Amino acid sequence: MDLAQTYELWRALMVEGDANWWQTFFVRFYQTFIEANRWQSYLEGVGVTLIVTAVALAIGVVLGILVAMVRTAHDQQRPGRPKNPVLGILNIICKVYVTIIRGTPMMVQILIMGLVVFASSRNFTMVGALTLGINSGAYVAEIIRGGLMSLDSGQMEAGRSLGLNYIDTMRFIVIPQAFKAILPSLGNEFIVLLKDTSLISIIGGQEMVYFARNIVNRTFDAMFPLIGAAVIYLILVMIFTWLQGKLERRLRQGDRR
Amino acid sequence: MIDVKHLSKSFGDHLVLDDISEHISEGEKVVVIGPSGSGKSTFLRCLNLLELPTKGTITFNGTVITDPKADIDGVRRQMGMVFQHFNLFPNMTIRRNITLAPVRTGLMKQEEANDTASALLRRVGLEEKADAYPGQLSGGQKQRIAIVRALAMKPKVMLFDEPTSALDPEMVGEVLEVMKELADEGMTMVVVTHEMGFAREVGTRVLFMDGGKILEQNEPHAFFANPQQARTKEFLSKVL
Amino acid sequence: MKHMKKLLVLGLALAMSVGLLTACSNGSQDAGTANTPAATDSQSPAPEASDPAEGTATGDYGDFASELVNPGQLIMVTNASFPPYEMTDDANNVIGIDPEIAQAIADKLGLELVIDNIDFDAALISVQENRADVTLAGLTYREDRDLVMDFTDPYATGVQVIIVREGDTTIAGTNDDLQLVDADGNVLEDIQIGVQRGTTGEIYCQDAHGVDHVTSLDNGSVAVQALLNDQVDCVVIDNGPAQEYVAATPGLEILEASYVTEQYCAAVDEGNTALLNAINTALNELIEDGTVQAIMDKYIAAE
Repeated sequence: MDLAQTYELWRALMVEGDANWWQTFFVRFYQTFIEANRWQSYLEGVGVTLIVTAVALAIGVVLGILVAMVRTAHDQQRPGRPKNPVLGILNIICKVYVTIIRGTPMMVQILIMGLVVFASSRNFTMVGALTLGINSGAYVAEIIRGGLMSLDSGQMEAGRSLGLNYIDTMRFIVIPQAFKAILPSLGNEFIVLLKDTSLISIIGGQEMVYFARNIVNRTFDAMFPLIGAAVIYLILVMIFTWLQGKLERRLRQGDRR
Repeated sequence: MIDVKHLSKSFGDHLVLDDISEHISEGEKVVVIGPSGSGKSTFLRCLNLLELPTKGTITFNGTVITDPKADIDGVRRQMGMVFQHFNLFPNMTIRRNITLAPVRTGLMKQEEANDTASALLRRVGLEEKADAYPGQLSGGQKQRIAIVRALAMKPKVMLFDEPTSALDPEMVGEVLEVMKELADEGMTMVVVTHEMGFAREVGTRVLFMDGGKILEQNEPHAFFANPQQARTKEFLSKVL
Repeated sequence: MKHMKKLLVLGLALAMSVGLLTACSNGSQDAGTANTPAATDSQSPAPEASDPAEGTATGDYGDFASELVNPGQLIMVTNASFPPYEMTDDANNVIGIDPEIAQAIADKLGLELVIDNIDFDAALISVQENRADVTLAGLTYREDRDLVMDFTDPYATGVQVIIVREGDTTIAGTNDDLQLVDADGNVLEDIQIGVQRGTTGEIYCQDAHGVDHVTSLDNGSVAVQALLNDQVDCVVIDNGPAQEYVAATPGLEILEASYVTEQYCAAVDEGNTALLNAINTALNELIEDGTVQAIMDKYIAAE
């Protein structure tokens, strides 16, 4: 029997109050995902969610690297020598940024960014992505800084003692090793970001939860769309966790080759 | 070659080096001994500015390297350093460990650096390890590679910071052997070590440090046969 | 590609059924008692059946006591960001037209009124999962919403209106398809409409202009802020909240032309006919004796 016909039939039963558990489940499932091609808007939401996550992560990583570089370079200035004043000012700016971002809730940041800071932008989705990116930058910076700091200081000393300058030592010796150490944390940050994209719906960012809630408003059935969105997030996260594990294994193999 | 004047170094309130003046001439093999905490490692690390002196000047071949304007990277290229914990770069092959600095600093082209690396590796009997990673080597092998890595920069002086302290006893010999050969070729060396046999056999001069000062120094034979200071005697009686 | 889509839907169905099994397991006991007896009991008025000990109901409202979440309480759930129907005062009490009507209904039924103020989606689930008895949240009846909830008779008339920035003459009104038009009747193609999430205005605007031209914001005040910021061109929202927002926010005005007229209902869980009937009876009494009108007049300045 045709699915649409079954839906109409069982829906009528449900209105009468005569539908059984399975029929009710089917009707609610159908009207949440299939009726009026609603599954397309979930897919659209997934696409937006992935784009927003990618944009946010790109911004976050760039910001994070910059902040981590400034802060690490500042902290690794040699004691006893006069400090670089430009680095000092940059370091203060970075510290303030990290403190504010890590000290305020994501939801408040999104509201402020969407309605106050970027009040002139009509692209709520990208404002949301930007906000997530700026937020992520603070966490990525701390992840990178932790990775750089955790590396044995002997590596830096060995590089410098060979006559390599600071930049080259960082580039060829410290950063490649730190990267491997921070990859798991970066992967987690990506997954956190992926899930946090759901928050941008409060300022009208059109990601998956936004579409799911549109459907809620039409059917007043909140459970199916929300669980549907949750399942999609879960599948996405599982895929990315798997990919991350693969990447880490490959990197580790590089060590033993 | 290296001229140290009134060198002091403190970490916070803790005075580690107390007004040291010393001269190291070309071709000398200076062995620095002393109890732990005596400041001998710090002294060595000051020589290539891994530690910044609190006071005093260090002059290397006429360059005042303690001057903030000195090209410290350029100076370090002429001073090889070998660490207690090897500090090989685990993310690179042995060949790249050796060739990275010569190539990046413009000393050699990659092919030339590769040839140099191969030649040096052959000398220490590890040429088959060129494509291995540090994680696949034993401690003794790692330290020999570390020496080769420093030598690839064609340094004028080699600094050794307790090069055998982190090794299993059976591996100490192979590293000391490489160092002896290096000494025989006329390399200027400053070696912080607990290997008294090496000091006696290879050193041209032994410095005994304690409490941040050089308490006593002499040529090895006289130093070990006839120590002058009570602290030196006490130390030697414990280690010999 | 077609196969991929089918597979995806199938996979979702599988995954969701697992999720739902767990979600349903804790709600199943009350669901069982709430749904099946309701259909039979409510058909027979049976005044003798009502237990006199149950309460101090002032009239005959049928035997709904067994349908309540907590005996002796009418738990109303709402999302208090819809002035003047529901909002919070400075002490975070939920006030407004809906709470007062609910209070009047509870008085009639001899029940103590309890108000839960939560997110709109959560309010709907609350009633469907028997954590609350009834929701009054300026809800509008729509046929496709009828599947999971039962709606009472209407108690108020809602009008969707268009808020624009003061002096903005680009938007003149709507055409028959509810599309926003300029003074010459041309459809405004590039328009961005701000709406409050969960309102019928959201649905109408999405249907008329497409999802891409509608920005749903978490509540009306955020939508109004976006309008002030020039982030949207107008806000379509129920007249009640619109009046409040425009009164509180200089620089905005409501267009003369209204958008849609509709009616507000309360809603109970699907199949909870006994409670639905009781509330309907009480509600209609309150409408007849003018109580509802008096509550309306208290909150909405006479027009």
